[in-house]
Amino acid sequence: MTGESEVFFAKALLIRSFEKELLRRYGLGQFKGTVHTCIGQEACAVGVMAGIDLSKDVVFSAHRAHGHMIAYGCPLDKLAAEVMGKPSGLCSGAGGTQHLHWKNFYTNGIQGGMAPSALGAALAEKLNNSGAIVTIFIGDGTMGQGTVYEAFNISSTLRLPILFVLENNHIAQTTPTNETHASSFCQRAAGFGIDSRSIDGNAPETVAQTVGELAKQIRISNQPAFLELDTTRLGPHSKGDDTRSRQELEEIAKRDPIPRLEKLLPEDQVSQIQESVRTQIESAFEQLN
Amino acid sequence: MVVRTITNIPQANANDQSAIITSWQHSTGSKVNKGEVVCTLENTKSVFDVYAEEEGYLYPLHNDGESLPVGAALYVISSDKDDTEKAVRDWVNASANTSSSTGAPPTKKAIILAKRHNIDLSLVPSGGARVSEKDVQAYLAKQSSPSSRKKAAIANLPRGADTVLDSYKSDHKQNVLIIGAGNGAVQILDALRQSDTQQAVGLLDDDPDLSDKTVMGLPILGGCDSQTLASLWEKKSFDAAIVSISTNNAFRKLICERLKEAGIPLANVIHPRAYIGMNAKLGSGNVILAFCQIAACAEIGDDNFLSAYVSIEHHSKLGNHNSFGPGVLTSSSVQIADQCKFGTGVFIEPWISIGSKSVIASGCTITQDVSENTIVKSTNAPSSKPLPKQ
Amino acid sequence: MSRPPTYLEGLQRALHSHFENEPKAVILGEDIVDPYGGAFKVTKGLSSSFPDRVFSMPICESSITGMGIGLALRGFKPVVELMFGDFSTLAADQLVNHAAKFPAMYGQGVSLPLVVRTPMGGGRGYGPTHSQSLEKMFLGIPNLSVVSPSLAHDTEKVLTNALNREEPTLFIESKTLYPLPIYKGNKEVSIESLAHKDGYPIAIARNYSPDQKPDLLIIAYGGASLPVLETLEHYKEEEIHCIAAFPANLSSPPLEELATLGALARRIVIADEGHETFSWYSELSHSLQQILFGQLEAPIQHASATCELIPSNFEQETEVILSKAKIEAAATKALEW
Ligand SMILES: Cc1ncc(C[n+]2csc(CCOP(=O)(O)OP(=O)(O)O)c2C)c(N)n1
Repeated sequence: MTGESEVFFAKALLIRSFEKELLRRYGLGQFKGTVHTCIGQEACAVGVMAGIDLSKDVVFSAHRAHGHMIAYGCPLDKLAAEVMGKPSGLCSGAGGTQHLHWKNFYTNGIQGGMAPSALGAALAEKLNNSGAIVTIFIGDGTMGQGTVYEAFNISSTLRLPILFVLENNHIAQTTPTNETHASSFCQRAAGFGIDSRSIDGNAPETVAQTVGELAKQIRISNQPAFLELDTTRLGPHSKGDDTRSRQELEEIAKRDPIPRLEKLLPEDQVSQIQESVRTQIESAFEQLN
Repeated sequence: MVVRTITNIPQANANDQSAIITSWQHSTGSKVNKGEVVCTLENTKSVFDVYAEEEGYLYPLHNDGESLPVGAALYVISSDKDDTEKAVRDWVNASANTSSSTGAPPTKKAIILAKRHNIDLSLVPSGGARVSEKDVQAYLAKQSSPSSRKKAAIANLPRGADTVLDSYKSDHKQNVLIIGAGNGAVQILDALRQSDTQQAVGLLDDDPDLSDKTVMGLPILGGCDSQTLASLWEKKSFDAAIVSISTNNAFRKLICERLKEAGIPLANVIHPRAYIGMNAKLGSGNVILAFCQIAACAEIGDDNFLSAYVSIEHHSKLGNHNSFGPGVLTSSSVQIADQCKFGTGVFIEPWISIGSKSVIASGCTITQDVSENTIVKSTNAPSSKPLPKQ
Repeated sequence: MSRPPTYLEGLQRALHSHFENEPKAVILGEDIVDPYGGAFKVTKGLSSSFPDRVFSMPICESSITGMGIGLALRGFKPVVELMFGDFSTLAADQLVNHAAKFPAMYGQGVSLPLVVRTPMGGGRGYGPTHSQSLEKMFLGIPNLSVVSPSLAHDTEKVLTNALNREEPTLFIESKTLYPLPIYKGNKEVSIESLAHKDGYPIAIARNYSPDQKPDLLIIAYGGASLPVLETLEHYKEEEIHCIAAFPANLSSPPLEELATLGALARRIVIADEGHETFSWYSELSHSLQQILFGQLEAPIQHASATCELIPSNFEQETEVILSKAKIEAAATKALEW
């Protein structure tokens, strides 16, 4: 079983280390603006990307997308440069942390705004008969936006090959989700006739397996699907803006996917991976020193 | 005689271009009184009445419900009880062809041009159905081209008038009346003897002892009072006057004002041996005797008396009612105000300014500004200082 | 000679040829399939000819627009129809924060060939939320083109140019102009077309012969062209030599050409159908005075809708929206200055 866990651990650790390095550099004032890290949610990114066809599928995400990008395979140095606003970045420094594009991957800083674009892309793939599907990541807070429900309705009606991935970290910026949302997200999607599931998002194997199944189903049926990943945001929304109690943070830290993955691997392999990650991060940020 | 008047559709508000006739209050041919409602019109904003401007017999030109452009003929009021509808309509059609005031308004361009040039459009004759730009242009051309202005000026002259200047013929010499019969007058008479264009006709003096005398053969015609001046002027006994008194500038000024009030022009008397430079400017009423120089670009006001050998150097400025003894020399760019009196042989440094009513004694060299009402008795240079040691 | 096509027919033709020539052409909108063919019939016949590429969508302007964006990102040549221009507010986020952003923000190689068409303007008694001219809300957004053909334009050419330019374009049509034949000129007014480097021609109308000089330049676009052309016809008999310029590209108007005409006429009126203040006319008069300062006889005048709700009642609506009377009042002000 080590093969799969090894890859998940390596990728999750790479994302974690990359984002910690970003936070460190942000703290040193090396770049301005903002930075949204997915610390604690790496398994979602890693698992979803393992379940889709990276050679042709299209992915949309929003503000918290470094993990998705890295799991998708985007070059680390270009991503680092972009987040730090450098001309050598993925989008020449115009995008920063939340406006990213590489190959078939697009992100934007408007919550819910990408849902219609994702629908359009799904229609494009369908019209092209490409067999590709579209995956869009949204957060639980974004479930307040009308565009998401327009997308549920349209994708279901037009039979579009799209997978909605809801990363439910139970908080939006500083607002606990149970204060702003009254009903089950899964039931909402189901209400539009969409196949909807809810699983543990911090277990990459399960995520990868479920996404694999759903992706296959979508390709065959041209019907949308909805997957809720129960996950944990262990860090702040961006920088220094976590208003949760230490107790609460300690509680959710127990669900941190990385120590769990680490335990599945022999020690020497872990340190080997750790070493490899360190060199990758070093070389990614080298140009930015 | 039948008098007919047309009433047009009025402009009731700025945006409206037409109105609908809602109703006529009187039938064709019926009598209407001045101020009575003739008909009711409607535009996009309101319903309003049209009132008769004259008393007479009504001839509507349109039926109820018709929509007509603003300015279109609406009805005719005739003074004649026996007028007929046909006669009225023929008359309306005929007048529409000859006069713009009956129907269509002037074009917008014509209206704008008229406003721009501040002319009354009703005075502009129309060359077609409406007063047009061309009509206004033609009218404007007539009104204001230089040649037409000159033509108009000539046409307005009385019969037998001279087109150049009513009082002078080409061989006419300006008849000069000299005010004051003292030594100044003698100098002026001497200068005028040399002139081809001017001649003295007489003198005035308030001194009763002089009234029965002559000066160099010329009569003393009376005192310097306004009445005498006016009656001589009325009789055309002279063309212009000159003041010969050089000793009292206040009196020069008084006489000068009296003449101006009576509308009597002042003559300049300039000895032919005086030199007037290029671009020099000269007012009127100035006496400029032999060997004077008014240099290039100098300016002389009115009513100054310059004895012989006075030089007003280039770019200097002289005001009014000043008098100079012989040999006053200014350097360049000197400013002399009004009613100043200079003795004999005065030198004035460049850029000096001398205030009004100042008196400068003979032989002074003026090296510093002189403020008004100042008497300068001797050279006003700062006292001499030894040169600094070398 | 056959009659000229109507404003609407020109647009229909452009769409049909787009679909014929471009296999990646798709269109999305509300109620756009046959037999209805769209609220203003611009898509009439399209779904019959191209059933797989015409999508009647649920009522969700933001998603319809956003889908166009996604399609364009992924290599299609989409057209989106918003039934009434008033609903563009619902698509504003998609237009401003998505369509206008992606090509520049994602770096090189991302193009977004999207045309969002919508009719604007009043005059048909549709009332407060179906009669506005809101295009000014989308002007001054970097990388978003706003285009509108006038009645003197070949609407087929203008729309075809928008479809070929492969950039996010908000294409404003005029409700009042749809049924009218394209204005080719008559004995009062002649029409010319001035080419421009962006491919959007400037339609020029004049009511005097070329050897004469103009008294007045009127600048307008889209639906405002109708009352402007009526003004030109009326001014012919009033001897006011008037030249009108109708640029089709509103977001980057052809300033040089307009300034050249302005310098010739020395009096300028700008007419637009939007509510007055903070308008296309105000921006344009600012830009023109930068070029023409000291060359004009009068301050630039404007005519527009008053800043009030547009009522359904016909007479009240007429008072509020742009009209020939308002244009002529502005012209009089300029001419009498
Ligand atoms: C339309 C819009 N509104 C508000 C924001 C500001 N904002 C950025 S992230 C965020 C919270 C999003 O919460 P959620 O969807 O749960 O995603 P998460 O941050 O938890 O990943 C907010 C409010 C935004 N970017 N876009």
